[in-house]
Amino acid sequence: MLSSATIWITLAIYMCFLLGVAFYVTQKEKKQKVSGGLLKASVAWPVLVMTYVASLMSTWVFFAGPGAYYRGGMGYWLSELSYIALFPIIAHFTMNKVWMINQQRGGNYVTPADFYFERFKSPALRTILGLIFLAASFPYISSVLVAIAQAADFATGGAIPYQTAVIVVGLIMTVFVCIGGVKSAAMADTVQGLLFIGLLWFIVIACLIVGFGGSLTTAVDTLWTNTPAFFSYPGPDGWVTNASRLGYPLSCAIGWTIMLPHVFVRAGYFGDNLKSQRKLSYIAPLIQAVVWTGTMLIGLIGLALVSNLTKGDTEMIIPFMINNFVIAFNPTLAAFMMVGFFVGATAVGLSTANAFLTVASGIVSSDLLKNTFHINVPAEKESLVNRIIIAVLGIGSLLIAINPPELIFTMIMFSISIVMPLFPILVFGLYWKKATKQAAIASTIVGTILVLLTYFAWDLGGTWYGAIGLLGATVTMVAVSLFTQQDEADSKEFYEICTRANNRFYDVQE
Amino acid sequence: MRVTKTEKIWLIVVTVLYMLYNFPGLPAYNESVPMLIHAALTLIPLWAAVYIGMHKVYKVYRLRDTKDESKGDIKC
Repeated sequence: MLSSATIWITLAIYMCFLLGVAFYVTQKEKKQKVSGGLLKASVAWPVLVMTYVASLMSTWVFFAGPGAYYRGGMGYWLSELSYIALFPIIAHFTMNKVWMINQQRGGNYVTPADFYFERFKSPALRTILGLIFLAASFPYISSVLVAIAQAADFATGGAIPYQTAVIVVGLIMTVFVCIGGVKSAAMADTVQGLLFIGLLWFIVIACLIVGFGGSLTTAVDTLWTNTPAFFSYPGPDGWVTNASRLGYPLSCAIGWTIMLPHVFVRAGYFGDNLKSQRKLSYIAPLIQAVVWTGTMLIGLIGLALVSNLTKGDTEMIIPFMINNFVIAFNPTLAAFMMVGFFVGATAVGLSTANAFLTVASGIVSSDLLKNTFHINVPAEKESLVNRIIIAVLGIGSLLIAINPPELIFTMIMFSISIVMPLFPILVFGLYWKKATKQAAIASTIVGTILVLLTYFAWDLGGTWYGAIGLLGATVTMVAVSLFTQQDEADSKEFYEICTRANNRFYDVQE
Repeated sequence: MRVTKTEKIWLIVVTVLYMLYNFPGLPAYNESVPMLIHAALTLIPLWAAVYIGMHKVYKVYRLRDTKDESKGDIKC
């Protein structure tokens, strides 16, 4: 449908845009004499909200999401609305506290494990957490490369081979993050986030006009007659059961919106003040609901138009509709939509991959090299070392992407699941003085093993995701804390910081 | 960390509504209208409880003006 030249030119223009953003941000920093290195940021609320939402959108919006709604139906969308609503309350009880403590310590945290170390003072825990967060990063970054390369392959009818696209997009991502770091990634998210939310809804409306004369009622009526399973549990493919209706949203509420390392640092470290943190809680769920609804409508329209796609093909429902329906309606519109789809998918995907790449390099340089192997890098060489780490991680993800599993969805959900057991450690660390480092370590190990068993031994990954690991980690945390002791001095300082931070930021009136 | 009464109420109400949405067996499988009614009766109150509760909790936790004060503790 599109020529390979069109895709290469599009990628070149997009690369120029990213380099422009990186150049603008680094120049601005030089002028303002602000320095935080490649891995730290303090941003105003519009950037905070958009970089957070863009990090969540990733390949979900244009690939995994429409395919998942096609297979899971409206019940799946409802289950998503149940977790999106939970973000403000989870953020209030956890991430806003994390933010305050980080601020009280001078805003020096780089990785999620930095916070855990502050509370438990355990180098072993920091190392284990670093490895788990790193393990979550690779499949996610790879999923982005897979999605974009598949899009290029599909959009050009195979003129751009999958592997070539993986390599080119992987290099673009790596070069951008090497140059610009985390602040550039956040700025790029803001600029392109709103644009691609608009594009998503443009695709929805265009497909509705082409397929059903612009009438959503007609599309719904068609689906109600032909595939009524879309409007009930367990959905057209029968996988939104009572169990997965609990397991999936729970995994997303905790894993996706809080615990994934790139989201953790955004929700917990990036806000420039507490007002920005609160704006994030107010606005992010609303924007997410708008975006996820658009994605659901694409799945709905796609299923109303064609109901026999294979599992893997459902994730290509947007280009499929463009190639099979829009092109006959208006070839120019089809070409425009295909370019838009490709750029949109590339942009939102790279937003997430860039975010992951920066935090993953922070994990390697801080949690592993500096704090585990005690390799001290001179301050003037820190940026160079971080760039080398980013390059190595980017190329590592690229290699995984060359031979991926069938569904992008599977890779994303495994990343989310593997970090879920770390949530109870965060909560108990904040609210329970008796929680010990021995319990935190045991809880991390038990939770991780349970997630691995869920996926690879019990074959329940598609239903319970990380929920069993979360439960196991919670029980272990309580049980081991009751049977072990840690020197009170280790946590005393942490709770004194909490009190000082509370007094500094809040005037409690109850 | 201290938890106020308003926060506790917020947490309990939201948890109960989330559990109601996930009540096993409801709605029955392959029933379209009950699914929509169930969603209306659980998800709309869940969203309302989250936002109303957030508003009330933020009123309890008033923000101090921290512009002109020191930057917190010594760096770790």
